[in-house]
Amino acid sequence: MPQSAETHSQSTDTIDRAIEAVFHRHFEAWLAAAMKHPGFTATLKSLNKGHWPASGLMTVCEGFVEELPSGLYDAALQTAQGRVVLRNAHRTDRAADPQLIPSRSSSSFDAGTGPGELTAEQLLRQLTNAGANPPSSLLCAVELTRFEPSQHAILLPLLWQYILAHRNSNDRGELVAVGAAIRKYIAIMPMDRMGELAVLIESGHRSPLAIELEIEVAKMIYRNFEVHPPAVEDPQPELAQRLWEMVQAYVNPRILLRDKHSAAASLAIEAVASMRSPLAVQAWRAAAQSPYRWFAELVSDDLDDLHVRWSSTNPDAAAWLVELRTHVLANA
Amino acid sequence: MPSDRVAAATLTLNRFDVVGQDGAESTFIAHAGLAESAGSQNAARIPVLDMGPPLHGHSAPGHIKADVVGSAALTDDEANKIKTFVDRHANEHAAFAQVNARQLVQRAPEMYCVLPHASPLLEDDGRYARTRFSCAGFVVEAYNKARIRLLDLNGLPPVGMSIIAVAYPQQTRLITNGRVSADAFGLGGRGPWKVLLCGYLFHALNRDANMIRRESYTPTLDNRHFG
Repeated sequence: MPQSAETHSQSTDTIDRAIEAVFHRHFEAWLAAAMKHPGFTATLKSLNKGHWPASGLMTVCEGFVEELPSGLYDAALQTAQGRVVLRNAHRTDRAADPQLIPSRSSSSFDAGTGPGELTAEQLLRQLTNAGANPPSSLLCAVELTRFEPSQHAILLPLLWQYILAHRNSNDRGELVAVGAAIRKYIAIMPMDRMGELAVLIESGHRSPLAIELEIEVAKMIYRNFEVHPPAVEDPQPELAQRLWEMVQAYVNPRILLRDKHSAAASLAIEAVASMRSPLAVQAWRAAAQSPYRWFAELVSDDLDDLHVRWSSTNPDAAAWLVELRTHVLANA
Repeated sequence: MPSDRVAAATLTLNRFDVVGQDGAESTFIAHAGLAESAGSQNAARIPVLDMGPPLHGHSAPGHIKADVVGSAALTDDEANKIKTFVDRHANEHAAFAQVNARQLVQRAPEMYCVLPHASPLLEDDGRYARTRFSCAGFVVEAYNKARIRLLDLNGLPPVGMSIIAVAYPQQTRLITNGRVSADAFGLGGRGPWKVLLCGYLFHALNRDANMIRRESYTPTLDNRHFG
């Protein structure tokens, strides 16, 4: 017997509701199972195995969103139209475009809860509470923040601990954070403790320090002594020795042009010179005698700049640099 | 011509040629970077080493549309010096990839500067962990490292905020919105300011290769445009 239009409509509604109920239960079960997987990626993979019927609605039923260290987002949403998985999604441009951010509003973007708005004291507390594995973004925020000298005593051991614990990491993001920690640590450490840095670039460690981190160490040693010239010659002989080993390793013409070796070699040479070490003669000579004339020029130009800087802050150190140049060029 | 407007869909570049992109005003160059590699490339999307911000180094080049290109016909030696310069600085800026878009906005003055064109971010005692650049400043300093002084930096023409707003729209909006002080970008006082603009680079490069190396170019205010 044929159904009336009204009866047909009621039947369709009943079936739709039944499908939706089953569909909802299945999704919840799938989601619960997926969430048991270790890690969000596994969760996404698990969800990807599901096939969901289309519907005329666009209501979001279930889902979750995770902010990645990069600031992008992974999300898995169940809408009434089907499953939506987003990977490395950008937040709305409203967050990135200053023009769209109202200067005085109560929007969540102005709520003042992001790490970027934390005070130095709050950052220090977060870093302390984070234990052995603070998020990389926290280290990067710490690097950009100026701390009171009274806070350095708390911050320095935390940074040192992080550097030692993560310097062998294979994770690119963690190495970037270690680089940030190295720069901040050296930029605020007491100058009379610079010798402690030797351990970071010593050879024979269980795995070699990534060249990107060696570059950061050598660069920051140079910068520290550029600003605070050594009052006496050779204040940290062991550190100078480790830097000289770096020079010898990277200045070899067979490898100098590869990867970032020229940056590491030139910075190590300049760091040895900035320490007024007796090894500076050999180090600078290694550049001067390089078959790559551009490399010798690069180091010479940078040490000229150092001389200009020291001339206004420590004439004795500047005079030492002039003598060094004379000695190196006479024997090159 | 050492500098030229880009009309074709593809163009051939030398490594570390300077690539410029127009801003909101016609022929006003609002961004510049260094071509990451040599060869024929799609003008709509050139891989560049640039001060985005953040700075894009060899491991993660940025991409810009090439509206204008300038070349100093760099020697291999000069290119090696520039590469070393980039390798020294790139890690300092890689950290910004760790923070989200909102933090990038908030941290703008710590990673970027308008005046001067390059500036260390100082600790209390004068030590510093990073050097900030403007996009044009990054190019100028990279070429300085190769002993090519493109511009007479003491002879830059003073410019007002209306021109700076075209050259640095994001930074200017941050100032206008009250999120960052003008001082934080080096634009203290009432102006005008001797700001290094990207267009100047292409006029400096639009000379004989020997002249580029022999004499720094002194730009005029009109040189903010090219072509």
